[in-house]
Amino acid sequence: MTTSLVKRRATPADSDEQLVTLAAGGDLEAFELLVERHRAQVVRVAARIVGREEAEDVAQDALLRAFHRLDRFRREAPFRVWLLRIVHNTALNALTRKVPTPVDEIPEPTETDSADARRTPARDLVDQERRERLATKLALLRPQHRSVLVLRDVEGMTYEEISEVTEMPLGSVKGRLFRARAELADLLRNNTYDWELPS
Amino acid sequence: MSGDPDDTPTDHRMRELLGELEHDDSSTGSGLTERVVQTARWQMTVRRAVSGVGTIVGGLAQGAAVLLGLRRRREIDK
Repeated sequence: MTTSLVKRRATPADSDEQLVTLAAGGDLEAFELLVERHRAQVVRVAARIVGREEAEDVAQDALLRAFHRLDRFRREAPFRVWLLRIVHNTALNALTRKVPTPVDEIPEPTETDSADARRTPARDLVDQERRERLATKLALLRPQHRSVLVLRDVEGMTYEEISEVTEMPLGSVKGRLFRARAELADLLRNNTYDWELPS
Repeated sequence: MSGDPDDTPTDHRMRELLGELEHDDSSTGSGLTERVVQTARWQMTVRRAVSGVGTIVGGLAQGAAVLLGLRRRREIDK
């Protein structure tokens, strides 16, 4: 038997593309490495679109969908972008099945919302509170606006990558991002909290 | 992340604020990998089993069709 026919073990040093090749052949170790590598971002993006409570369910669903479609990954875009497209679609589908929570019922975060609030230094507490307030405001945006804003301003993706993830033309991505930022800026300005936004 | 040349000061500030959320939720999903891989494992097993059963059933059906076809032909020949 030649060495090329011997099945190689996946290692953390492997690139995403190498791991995809192995995982598509049924190598679950390779798939595990892929999941571990992208888990944080997948959960974060899902959480920003559907909310923290459902984020893990959506992330799990999206990762399993990706696993069963690995043979369809064409390598035209990086694996991360392809995966986030599945996460984005899964999250938006989950939202369409969900009964919307009236805006009035979304609680404003309080200082005791964080489990570790009392144990963290004062500065961390202030930052945490600000992040939670911001996340609450972000949740008020329309899902399509929210997702573009999250992909660009939270995840730092390029317009081209966002266009791949959302399956929208580049011009639409830019337009939607412009409107989303304006919408969020309005929400933040109509708030007693000082966001230090330029007037 | 690099900013856009067209960005207004508000856009810039918004990006600063939202960028802070990247470091949020870092602890979430710690048990997720295990759950996903376990589910993928049994789903793969079930898929292979279903595919195996399908192959067997398909083979049996094809065999039965051949036998029936032969029998019919013999009856016609008689």
